[in-house]
Amino acid sequence: MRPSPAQIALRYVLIILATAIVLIPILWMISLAFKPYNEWQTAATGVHWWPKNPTLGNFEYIFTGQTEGLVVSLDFTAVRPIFASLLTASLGTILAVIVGTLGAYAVSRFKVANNLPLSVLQLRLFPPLAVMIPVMIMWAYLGMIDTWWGLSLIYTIVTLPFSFWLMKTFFDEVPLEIEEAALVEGCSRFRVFWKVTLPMVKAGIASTILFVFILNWSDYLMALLLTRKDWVTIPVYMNALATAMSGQLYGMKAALGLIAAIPPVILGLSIQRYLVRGLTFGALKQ
Amino acid sequence: MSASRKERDAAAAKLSLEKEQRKLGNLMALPAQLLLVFIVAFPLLMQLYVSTTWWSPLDGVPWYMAYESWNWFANYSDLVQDSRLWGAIWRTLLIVIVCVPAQFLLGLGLATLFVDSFPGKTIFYTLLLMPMMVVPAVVGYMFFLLFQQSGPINDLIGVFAGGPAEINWLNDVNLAMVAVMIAEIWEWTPLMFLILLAGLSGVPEDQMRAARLLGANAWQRFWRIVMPRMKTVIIIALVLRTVESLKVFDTLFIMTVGGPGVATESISLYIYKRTFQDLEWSYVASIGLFVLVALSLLAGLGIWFMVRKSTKPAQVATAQQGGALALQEAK
Amino acid sequence: MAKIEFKGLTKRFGSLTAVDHLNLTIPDKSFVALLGPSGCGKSTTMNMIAGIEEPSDGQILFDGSDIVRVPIDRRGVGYVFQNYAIFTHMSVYDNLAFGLQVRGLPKAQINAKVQQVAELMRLEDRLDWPSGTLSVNEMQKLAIGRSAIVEPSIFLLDEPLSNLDAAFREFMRTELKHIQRQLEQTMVYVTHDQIEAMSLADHIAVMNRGVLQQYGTPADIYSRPANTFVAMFIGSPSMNLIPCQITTEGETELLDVGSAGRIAITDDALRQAARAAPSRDVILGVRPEVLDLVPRAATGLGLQLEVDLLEPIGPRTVVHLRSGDTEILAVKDKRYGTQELEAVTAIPPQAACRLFDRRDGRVLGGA
Repeated sequence: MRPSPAQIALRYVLIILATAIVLIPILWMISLAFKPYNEWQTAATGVHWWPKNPTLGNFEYIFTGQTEGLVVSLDFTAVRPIFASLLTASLGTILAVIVGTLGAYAVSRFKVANNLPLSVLQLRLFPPLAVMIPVMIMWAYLGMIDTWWGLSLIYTIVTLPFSFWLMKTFFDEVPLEIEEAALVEGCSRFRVFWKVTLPMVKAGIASTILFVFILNWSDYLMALLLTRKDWVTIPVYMNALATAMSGQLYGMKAALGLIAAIPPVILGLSIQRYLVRGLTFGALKQ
Repeated sequence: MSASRKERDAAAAKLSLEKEQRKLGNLMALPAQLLLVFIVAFPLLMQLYVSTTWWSPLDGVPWYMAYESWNWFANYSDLVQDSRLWGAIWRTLLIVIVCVPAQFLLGLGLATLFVDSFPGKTIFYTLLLMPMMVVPAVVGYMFFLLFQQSGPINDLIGVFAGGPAEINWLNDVNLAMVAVMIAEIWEWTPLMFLILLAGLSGVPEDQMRAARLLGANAWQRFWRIVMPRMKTVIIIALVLRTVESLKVFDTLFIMTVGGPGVATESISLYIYKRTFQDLEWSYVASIGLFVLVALSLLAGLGIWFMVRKSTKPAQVATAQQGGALALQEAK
Repeated sequence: MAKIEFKGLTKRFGSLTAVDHLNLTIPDKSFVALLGPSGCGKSTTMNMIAGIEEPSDGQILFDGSDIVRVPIDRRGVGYVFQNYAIFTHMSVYDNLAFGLQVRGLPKAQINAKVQQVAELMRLEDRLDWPSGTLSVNEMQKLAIGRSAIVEPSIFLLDEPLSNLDAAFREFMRTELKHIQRQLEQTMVYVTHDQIEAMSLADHIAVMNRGVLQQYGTPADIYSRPANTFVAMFIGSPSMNLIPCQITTEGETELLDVGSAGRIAITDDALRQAARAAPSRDVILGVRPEVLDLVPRAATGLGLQLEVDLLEPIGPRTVVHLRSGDTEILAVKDKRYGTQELEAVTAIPPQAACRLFDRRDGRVLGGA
C-alpha cells in the first residue's frame, strides 16, 4: 500500500527539519572556521551565516603560529597535539584490539576466563572520574603522566570493552565446524586460530579497529587528566587555545574542531554497517 | 580389544586437546586479565585506603604514607553533608531524566520515518548520524558558540520573535542547564535513532502485513506487534544512554565549566573540580567510591528487576527461537 | 462470499512486468489455484488481491466493485503467509483472538469464537502455549485459524503446504478441502506444486512470466493443455512433445517423425488441428500414460522406437524410448513386461493427442 501524497510530504518535512537541526551547529562551526578575526564576534558584525571574507587564516595560525591581522603569535602550534592524538589513539587502538581479540577468542572458544565478559563491561559502566584518583596516583608513580605511553595505556583500557565484545560477536559467528575440520587435519590449536579463524574475521577486525580508533580519537577526559603539555591531544589543546591579548581564539578553535571532527565522521561512515553492533557491545546487529 | 584401545586413544586425545585448549585459552585471556587487575583490583584498594585519610598531593608525602593522616571515615561523614555533591547528583539525574527520554522519543520518531525506503533515504540517514560521530569535545564547543549572547540561536529566536533576542543562555542559572541539555539531546539522539531503527527493521514484514490484513490499524500494529518485539532493543538503548549520561562531562565542561556557579555541575564535573582546583584527593577518593557503590547498587537493582520481570518473556524468546529453528529445518 | 474478477490487471516493477494484462474470473465459493514456476507472477497477483501490492494498471473487482482503492485492512481478505507470520511473541490464544480484539469485540464473544475455531483447527489444548513453541504443522493450522476467525469473504493461501513434512502435507491437503467447504469461502491458493493444485483446486490458473497460460478445471488442464508450456508444466513425467512435420499422401495427412516413422492421422479432431496449422512444422503432444506400446509392427499408426531405459517408480514404470534424436517417455504398469533395447512400436491414441504450433507453442485447432 503506497502512502498518500500528504503522508509523503509530511515525512519529508519532518526529515528535512531534523536534518536541518542536525546540520546547523556543524555548519555554524565550519563557517566560523573560515571567518577572519573581525567576523568572530557577532556583536560587532551581526549574525551572518556565511563568512563575508572567507579566509584560511585560522588554519594557518594554528599550524604556523602566525597569520595576517593577529599581532600575537602562537608559540605552541596544533601540530604537536595533532601528532599526539594520532599516535596515542592509534597505539591505544592497536593494543586494545590485540588484547580484546585474544581474550574474546579465548572466551568464545575455550570456555575459560568466564569473568571477562562482565568484568570488561563494568569498565564501561562506571564514570572514569570516580576511579581517577588512584589512576592518577599510579600514573604519577610510574612516571606516565604526560607521556605517550601513559595515555596510550589508558586508551587501551578504556576501549577494551568495545574491542572485546565486538570481536567476541565476530568469533561467535564463525562456525565451529570450520575449526574442527582444521584440527582434524592436524593443525595445532593456536595455528587454527591464527591461520583459519583470524583470516575469517578480517572484516570484523578492520571495523573494530576503526570503531575503537574513533572512540580513542574522541576522548577528552583522559587526556585532560593525564597530560599536561607535551602530549596534550587536539580536544584539550583546542579548549585551552587562547592568547593573553586576543582572548578566546574562536575561529582557530573552530578550525581545529573541524580538523578533529573529520576523521571520526569519515571512519564512522565507512563502518556504518557495524555501528549498531559496536555501540551496543554486540548485543544488537544491524 | 583393538576397538577399546582405539576408544581409549580417542578419549586420551580428546582430553589432551581439552587441556591444550584450556592452557591456550588462559594464555590468550591473560593480557586482558592483567589489565583488569591493573585498573580495577589495584586502584580500588588504593582508593579505599586513600579515602580513609586526609592525604593530598600537596602534603609532600607519597600516597603510601597516607596513613600518617588516618581519619577513619571522616571523609564519608563529610560527604553525607556535602550539599554541593548532592546538588551535582541531583543535576546529573535531572540530565538523565530529561535527556534520555527526549533522545528516545525523538530517536523513535525519526526511526519510524525511516522504516520503509524512500528516495534520498541513505543521504538523510547518513546526515542524521553526524552528531554522534563529531568528537564530543567539539560538540561542546559548537554549542558554546551557538548559545553566545549574540550567537545564531538568539538570532533565530529574534527572527521568529520579531525583535532582537538577547538571552544570556550560558550565564543564566536556569537557561545554562537548558542549553546543556539541548546539546546532549542533539548529540545522542542519533544513537537512539540508529539502534531503534535497527530494531524496527527487525520486525518481520509479514507479521505487520498479517496484522494489517486482520484489521489492525497503525496504532494497534505499533503497540501489539512492534513494541513487544522491540522490548529488548529499547531496554538496551535506554540502559546504554542512561549509563553514559550519568558520566556526562565533556559538553558541560566545555560549554559552562559547570557554571554559572554550580548551575550545571554534574557528578563528574564536581569530582574534577575537587581534584584539580582543591586538590583534596582523599576526599575525592571517598566520593568516587561512594559513586561506584551507588551505581553498582543501581545496576544490580536494575538487573534484578529486569530478570524478575522478564522471566516470562525470556521463555517466550527461547520458544521463538525454537519455532524459528523448526521452520528452518522444515525448509 | 465474493466473486473475484481481474480486468487487464498489470503490475510492473521498474522494467519488469510481473503480471501482464491478467483477465480472470474466480467464481464465488470456488477453490482456485494459481499455479506456475517461481517468478511467474502468481504471488504478485495474490498480493494485489490482498492489497499488499498496488496494481500498475487494470482492475480487481470483488462482487463487481473495484477494490483497488480500498485499504488493505478493509478488504475482508484472509491471508495465510508462506512462513505463516505467526505472532511468536503472543500465545496461541492471542494469535487467534487478534483479529477480533482489534475490532474491539466483547471478551465473552471473543472467547467463544476462539474456542470454536480452536476446535475446528484441533488446537484447543494448545491455547495457552506461547505460539513460538508450536510445531510447524500446528503453526500452519494456527495461521489458517487466525485468518478464518474474522470470517473473510476471500481466503488467500501462499504456498501453505510447502513447509510441511510429507505425511502432514497429505493430511493437510484433505483438511484444507474440508475447511474450505465448511467456511464456504472463496479460496485462492498459490503454489508451484502441480500435484497440490490438481488435487485441491476446482479451477487452476496456470501462469508463466506474468501471463495467464490457461484457466480451467484440473482435468481440462491436464488432458487439454492450451500450449506447450502448460503441457510441460503439468504432469509428472510431463507430456511428450514430439517435433514432427505434416505431410500429405493422397487424402490422408501424416505426421512425419523422422527416423521414428510416420503416423497417419485418423482422428477427426486431430485432422482438423493439422489442417489449421499455419506451417508444416508442428509438435505432437501425447501424455506418457496413454501411449500404447506393442511389439514392433508396421501399423502406420505408431512410432518405431527402441527401449532405452526402464525406470521403475513404485507401482509404475517409466519407459524411456528413443529413435535417433526423438526421445519419448511412456508410463506403464509395474508388471509391464519389456526389456531394455527391445524394439517396440508406440501408438498414440489420437483422441488424446494435441498438436501445437512449433513457433509459438499454441495448441492447434481450437480448444
